[in-house]
Amino acid sequence: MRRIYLSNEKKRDAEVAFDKTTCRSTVYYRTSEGESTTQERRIKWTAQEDVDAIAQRAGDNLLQQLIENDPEVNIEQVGKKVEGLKKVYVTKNHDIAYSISLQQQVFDNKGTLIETRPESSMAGNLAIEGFPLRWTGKLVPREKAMRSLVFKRSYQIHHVNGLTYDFLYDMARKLDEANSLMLLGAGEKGNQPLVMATGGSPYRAFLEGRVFDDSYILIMRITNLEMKSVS
Amino acid sequence: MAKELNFALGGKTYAAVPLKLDRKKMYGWTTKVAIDHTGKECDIAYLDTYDSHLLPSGAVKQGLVDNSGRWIERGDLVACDEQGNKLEMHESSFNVIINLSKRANPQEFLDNEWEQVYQLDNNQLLNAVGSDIYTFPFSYKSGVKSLDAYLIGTENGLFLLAGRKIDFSPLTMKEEVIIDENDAELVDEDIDELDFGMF
Repeated sequence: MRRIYLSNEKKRDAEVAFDKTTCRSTVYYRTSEGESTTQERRIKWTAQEDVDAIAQRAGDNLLQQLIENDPEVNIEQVGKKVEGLKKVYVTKNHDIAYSISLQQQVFDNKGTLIETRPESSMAGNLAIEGFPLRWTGKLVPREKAMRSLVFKRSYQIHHVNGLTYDFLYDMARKLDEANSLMLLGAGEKGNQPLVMATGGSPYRAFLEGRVFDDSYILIMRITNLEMKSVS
Repeated sequence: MAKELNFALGGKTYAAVPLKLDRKKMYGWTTKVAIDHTGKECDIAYLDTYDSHLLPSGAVKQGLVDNSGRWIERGDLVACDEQGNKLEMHESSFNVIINLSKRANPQEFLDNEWEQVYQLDNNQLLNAVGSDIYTFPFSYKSGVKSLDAYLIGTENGLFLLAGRKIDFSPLTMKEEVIIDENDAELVDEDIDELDFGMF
């Protein structure tokens, strides 16, 4: 279980846990003989077999080279299993690039480039001690939330001891009674979107609660998409 | 001509072309570009650290192999369930009439991990659906995979959301958990990026 800090309406915060609710695939692929299969990555070609690289090496003899020597096929490498690849940046000549700078190009919804700026990635703000995800007080009725927002992921919040059980149960009860979702705020001022991990995308996070006698369900739902007309 | 989905509700049929909700078309997007010391744009490639081969983007293919390491073509694979039973093929939802007979409550609708979201431009169907939420199996293409889809009316029109159901279990006080201290921050890619800036 991963750590998360939440605060309630009285600004009392607690360290609790959450898990990712992945929907496990129910489809398994086997061979026609019924054998199990494994996923692997295999090489198709290397930089040496790139069309431009071959053309550069061959010069005026490209056609002859292709017919006589098959430089586009590397029988030593094709089909070889690969693991632990390292990402690098290369020039158009497939030479490894040094002293690179990363820039961010911003496009509007029509595909027009509107800005180029130095690349900046947002720091993860999910579990920063001293800066819990804040109960903003902004309630969104469940009916309105589900008809306007697309919740991409949902995570169940778990208690780690008796005190946090009371803490989370109380949250879930309030939200269940209000039949609403609560907007959570992240960051130092508690008004920033949630960033699950450094370099990740920002999301708006909401809490939803349900109670059943002495048990509860508290769910953090995240969204970065609204149900809006695209036509 | 764009393909239509056909729905049956209350003895009538309705047709609508699904328009995919695309974040890029709604909000714009950003891309990351690497510039070398001469000011030229760079491409991404991968270094095979075992024998130092440089692999351009697209030069590695992921696929399935059998127990002896032999590559299996997609057409030769058989889709099965966990017990090894062959799965049935589902017809594409574009080739059938989708019967809107099963309603869902808000909690059933919310407890899904959405994979596809479409807008359906048909005001008559929007009025017929009203404030109800309908659920049905959905397959964009013919195949073994079928998603749980929901039809829901909003202020901005009618939407079809397709995804996979999530099950949440109620927690009593006894069901406390332990935080994994070794759980590292999520990383999007499992391919490390070597920093050549120091060279």
